[in-house]
Amino acid sequence: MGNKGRIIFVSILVVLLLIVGALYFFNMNIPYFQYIERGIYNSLSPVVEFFSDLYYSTISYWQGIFNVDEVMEKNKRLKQQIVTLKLENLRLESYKRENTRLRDLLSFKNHIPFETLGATVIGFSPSLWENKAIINRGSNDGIRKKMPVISYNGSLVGRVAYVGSSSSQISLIHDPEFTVGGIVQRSESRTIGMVNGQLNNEQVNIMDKISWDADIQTGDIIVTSGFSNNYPKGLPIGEVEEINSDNYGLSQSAKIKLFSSLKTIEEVLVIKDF
Amino acid sequence: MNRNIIFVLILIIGLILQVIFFSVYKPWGIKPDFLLVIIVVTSLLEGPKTGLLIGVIGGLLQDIFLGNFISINTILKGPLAFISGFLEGHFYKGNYFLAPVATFFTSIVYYLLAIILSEELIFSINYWFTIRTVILPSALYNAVLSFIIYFIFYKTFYGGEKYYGR
Repeated sequence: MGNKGRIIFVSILVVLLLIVGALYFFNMNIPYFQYIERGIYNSLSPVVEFFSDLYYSTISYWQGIFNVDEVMEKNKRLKQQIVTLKLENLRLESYKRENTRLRDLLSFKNHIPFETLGATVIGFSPSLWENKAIINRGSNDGIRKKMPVISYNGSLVGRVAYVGSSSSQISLIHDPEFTVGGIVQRSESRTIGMVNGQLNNEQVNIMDKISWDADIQTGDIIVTSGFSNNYPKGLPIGEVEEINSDNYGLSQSAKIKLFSSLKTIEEVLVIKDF
Repeated sequence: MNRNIIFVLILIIGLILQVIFFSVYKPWGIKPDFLLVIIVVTSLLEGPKTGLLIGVIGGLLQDIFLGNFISINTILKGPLAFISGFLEGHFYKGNYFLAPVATFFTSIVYYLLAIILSEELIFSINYWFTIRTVILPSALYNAVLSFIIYFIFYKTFYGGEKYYGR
């Protein structure tokens, strides 16, 4: 390519960049572009999933070999736990029957558990500024945008931010852009505030906009408030670690230690019917 | 095979590594930008033209994996790779310390521009804290990675020969 050709090539690329820059800044959506985007995403995500599976299975295989004593010990402990849990389950079954009977007597509205779908985390966002996880379920499995995502212990993990055909991305709870309404679980308090993610801390979120005289203490459990209709009410978020005065004493903010350990998150549940 | 296609394949491998490895195992919580490292190293070895192309494709791949087709990475990575590509021909390619230095400074510029261009981050973060705890450590991590990647690329594509200029 001659000098002239090179200049033309670079100019075309610069012009293209300026156009895409303008598209980005003016937030324009061109349908044709979306098809290309989805096409590339949907063809790349199975490759990522394949390598992720391969990588994690190799790691766990070697971990199993190197920690065989620990695995056997854990196996023994879990077997004992199963027996205890079976007994507890039997006891709870009887409570459940009793509960149903009493609810029927009082004609209470039945509490329906959410319909959830299990998913495996196959990777994390490649950006420094966004905390997103990629899961192996997509629109083919019925996943839609904005569905809440919880961990196996029931605490809030995030919400679905982008859906591909067989994989989707979750905006994680500690993402700086993530905001959820929180409420103190203690029945005599019910203090509300907004729980926000922080850029450089995966374990602690900040709950702010708490009124200056609110009843909030360290150790309080914060759950989702359910005011926004984006999340069901009562999903555990975390525990109050520290309370500070905010806005020159006009409000308070609290550091919330998150329940979900997002460093080790491997499997999540997507709430489908909310 | 056309060298540009090889670089695009390397970018895809880089994206997979970033998604399944570098974003998961973060020593001291530091996350590198492996694609930025590949892009800067490629443009240092191949010059501004290839750099711009690889930068745009790499940025685009990264943006698609963040759920936005054209976003901050496409807009920033192309021009940054183009600019760092101008170093090509001005330095002795066997000097393995060029890549870490260039990557370190490119990373800092890239991260700062990414904050300035993001409406969510520009007013909400503590700049000095972010520079100290996120930008500088990550730029340093990128620099270390670029040393390794430059070494591998230089040995693979140039056979490690004493190669001056274009």
